[in-house]
Amino acid sequence: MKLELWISYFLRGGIVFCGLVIAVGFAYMLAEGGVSLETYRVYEEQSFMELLHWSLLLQQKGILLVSIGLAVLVSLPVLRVFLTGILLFLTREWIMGSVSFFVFLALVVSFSLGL
Amino acid sequence: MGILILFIIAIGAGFLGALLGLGGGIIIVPILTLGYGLDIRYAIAASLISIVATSSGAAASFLKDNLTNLRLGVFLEIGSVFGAMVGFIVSSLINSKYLFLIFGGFLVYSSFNMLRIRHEDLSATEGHPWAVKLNLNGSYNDRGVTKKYYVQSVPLGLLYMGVAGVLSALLGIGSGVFKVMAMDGAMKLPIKVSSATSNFMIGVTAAGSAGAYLLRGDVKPGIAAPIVLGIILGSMLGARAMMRMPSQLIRKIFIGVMVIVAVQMIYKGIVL
Repeated sequence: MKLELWISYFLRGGIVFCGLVIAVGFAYMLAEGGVSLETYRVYEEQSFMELLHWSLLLQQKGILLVSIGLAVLVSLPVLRVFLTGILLFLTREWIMGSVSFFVFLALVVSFSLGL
Repeated sequence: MGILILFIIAIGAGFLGALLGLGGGIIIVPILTLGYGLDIRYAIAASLISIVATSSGAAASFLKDNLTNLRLGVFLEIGSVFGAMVGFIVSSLINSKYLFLIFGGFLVYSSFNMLRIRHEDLSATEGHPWAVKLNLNGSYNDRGVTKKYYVQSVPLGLLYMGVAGVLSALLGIGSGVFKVMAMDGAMKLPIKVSSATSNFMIGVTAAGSAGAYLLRGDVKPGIAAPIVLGIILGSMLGARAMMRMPSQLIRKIFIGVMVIVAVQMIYKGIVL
């Protein structure tokens, strides 16, 4: 199977999974007391881990599910670069495979810079 | 009601983003800050998430239809990722006011240039030596007709991607616009391929920042959920629409958006 098709299936599966998890989570959020955008007018510091911690404690399934969906969504492009590298190596495209892993490493470095 | 309107706007942003290879920042950020009065940090975080969603949502279709040049996208990511790192490092040393004005003016000039060149030049019969060596030349299906293209000026394109990466890290705007311009102008790719490949690339660049914002807690589920759902739907519709649209129409819409981004940049340069 062509490289493009593999990546296409990976992305389609990933995006459908994220969409479904976020949709179910958002439905829970609406059912658990609704969502008001006005509460986001003032910035409040609360890290992702704190948010998950409180959602678990308070049994807020909606926020938990949406957060999981968002985390998977953000990791999709980076995983895609990694998968591209593996698939290119499997097809013996050494130069482009190395380029993919090089980009993957550069991304990891850029994460650590806080980009 | 506000949530429903936000969802509908996100569908539009995803549609346009997929069609033109741009992130949704130019739509999402002003809507959330000016329209809903939300804090700018939440708006930027939501905008980055929307870029990742647009990119992944549309890329699945574009790859399947051969519109995305995967190899070229991966290769050019070297330029944009390193450009973003350089931009991040020098951001504290540079006054972005003048950069906004210079590149805002440059976008106006480029949009007139793109308007002047009415048709795509696909007459080249061989690509740049790097394109041959790395197997970057390709073909795509344009409304039932298979068109072959040869990638030109690969080193120049890589340099442009570096500049696009620096600019998007410094200015937080225009990453997709500069990528499409580089592929269309310097590398002479068809506009549909430029747009789809840019779409593929912007997700990777945005994912780094989006991850940092997510971990910091700036991506709020209440804001992000309706936007992501709308963007996914819109980007899938946009990807399908692109297959049916004539290239010239996409080019004209892109030029219109370039002018809007240019005005935004010049405005920021003046008020900073």
